[in-house]
Amino acid sequence: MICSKCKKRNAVYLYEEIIGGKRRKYALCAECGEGVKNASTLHGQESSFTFPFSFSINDADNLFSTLFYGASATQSTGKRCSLCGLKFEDIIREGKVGCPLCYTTFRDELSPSISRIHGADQHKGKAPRGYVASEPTPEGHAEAEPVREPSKEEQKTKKLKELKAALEEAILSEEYEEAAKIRDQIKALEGEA
Amino acid sequence: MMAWYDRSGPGQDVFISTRIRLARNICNYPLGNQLSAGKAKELMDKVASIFPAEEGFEITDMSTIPPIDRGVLAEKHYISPAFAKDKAPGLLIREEHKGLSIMVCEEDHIRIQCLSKGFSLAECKTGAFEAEEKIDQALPIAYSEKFGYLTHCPTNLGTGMRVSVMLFLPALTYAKQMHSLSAQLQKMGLVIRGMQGEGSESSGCLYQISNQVTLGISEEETIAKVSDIVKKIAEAERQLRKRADSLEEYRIADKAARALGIFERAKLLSTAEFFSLWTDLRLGLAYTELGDISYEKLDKMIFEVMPSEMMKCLTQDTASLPIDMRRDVARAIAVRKILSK
Ligand SMILES: [Zn+2]
Ligand SMILES: [Zn+2]
Repeated sequence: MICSKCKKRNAVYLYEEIIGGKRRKYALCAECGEGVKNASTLHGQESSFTFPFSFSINDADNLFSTLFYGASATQSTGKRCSLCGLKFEDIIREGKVGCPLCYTTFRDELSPSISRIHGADQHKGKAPRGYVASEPTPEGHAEAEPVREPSKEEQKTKKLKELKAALEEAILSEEYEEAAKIRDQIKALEGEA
Repeated sequence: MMAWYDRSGPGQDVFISTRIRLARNICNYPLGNQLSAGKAKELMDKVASIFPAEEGFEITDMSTIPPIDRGVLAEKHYISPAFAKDKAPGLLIREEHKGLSIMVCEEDHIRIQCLSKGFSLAECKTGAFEAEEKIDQALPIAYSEKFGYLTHCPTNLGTGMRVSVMLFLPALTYAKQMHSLSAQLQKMGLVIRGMQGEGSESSGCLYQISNQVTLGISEEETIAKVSDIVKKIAEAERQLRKRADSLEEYRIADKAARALGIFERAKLLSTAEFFSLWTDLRLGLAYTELGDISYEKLDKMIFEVMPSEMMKCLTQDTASLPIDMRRDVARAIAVRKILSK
């Protein structure tokens, strides 16, 4: 069986976790399994804290990438987050986003995994001060985009910076085809009024 | 200033401590590896300016703190073990009398936590949200109507709030109830973690219970849920303790008295032995008087005689001994010092 996290090595551990009352099992390789085990720590207390009775991991911190079980790179479209520059594959690999804007950029890709983790897909509770909940739109989209995200101008500047960095990288690693693509993107973006 | 853990709190026979932690991030700043050193510095300065020293906030630049002191901060729960190990820049803001500590540039941009002794969720809630309010007034917090507070790891989305209660459950442990309890808690969306001081199962009767999910459940609901369940568990533990017959009570009292004898006389105390004796003593206190031993003294120990702190207390006369032995000598001395206070 192949490890459900890295999808490379052979699985040697079987992990079980229960989130929101739902039981799930993951097969993990030795390396990924160690990572999950080491994630268990008591609040602030440094020690070797593993649950003494059963090897059940229900510590969700750092386990997110395992939860992408089912989410695959085929969903990737090469789209990059305009603030942090990450692609969806990067988020899967890290199990963490690169910036708050990623949740807007990759909302559709992330949604299924988020629902799976929490057993819910809609926030309930406090909002930042001054946050005005938007009215449901006529189309029936009750969910509004985050209002406190960077402005278009800021996003563009950031994106340009990211692209230029990517270009440099592509040239350095002699991926000229990729570099040409990025150069076109930069030109297009700079051309925008 | 008395440390947050050096106080008494409600329900001490079962409850050790309570914590509420909030994860918050700031718009327009990348997270984790994507956050440049320059941007991190900018963010730390912004957050630091919200909590001025003149108002009693103690600000620590983590890059100036040696690893061993970071370990000490983690042992006393001011920071997470991950923050202690992290080599990236970070800031710690503290307000000791409120049990408040804020980590800047931890996994999330800002992690606010409020700690208190015993079972005191209301106090933790007030402390954590007061600090959060200050940040909210000064900086744009990343939030979406759908996912709530946007966090580095999607497991913290929604309220970004983790409510944790640390309990001492020897009766439930000895009655082998923890396994089924753990299964029940998981079904209810709570996480239980056993805390063991290295040794065998019997040496650790400390558990931390916290909420598992953060999205789709409000702050109030989360607190009410955790509160309701830990109260029930505490009641079960107390009922079970009451069921001990006079014979058992005598044995427990004897074990505690012996543990005290070792604490008073030992030359070496390993972490494992310490926890084992500590458990005997703490349980014994529910049944019998043990001189001037109190829950306060015992609980102070689990924050002050841990490995990193002991590394700072090595004595000169043990210089020729191996390091772990020197640490055990230091622990024996430290335990005695707390006992005699
Ligand atoms: Zn793997
Ligand atoms: Zn991003």
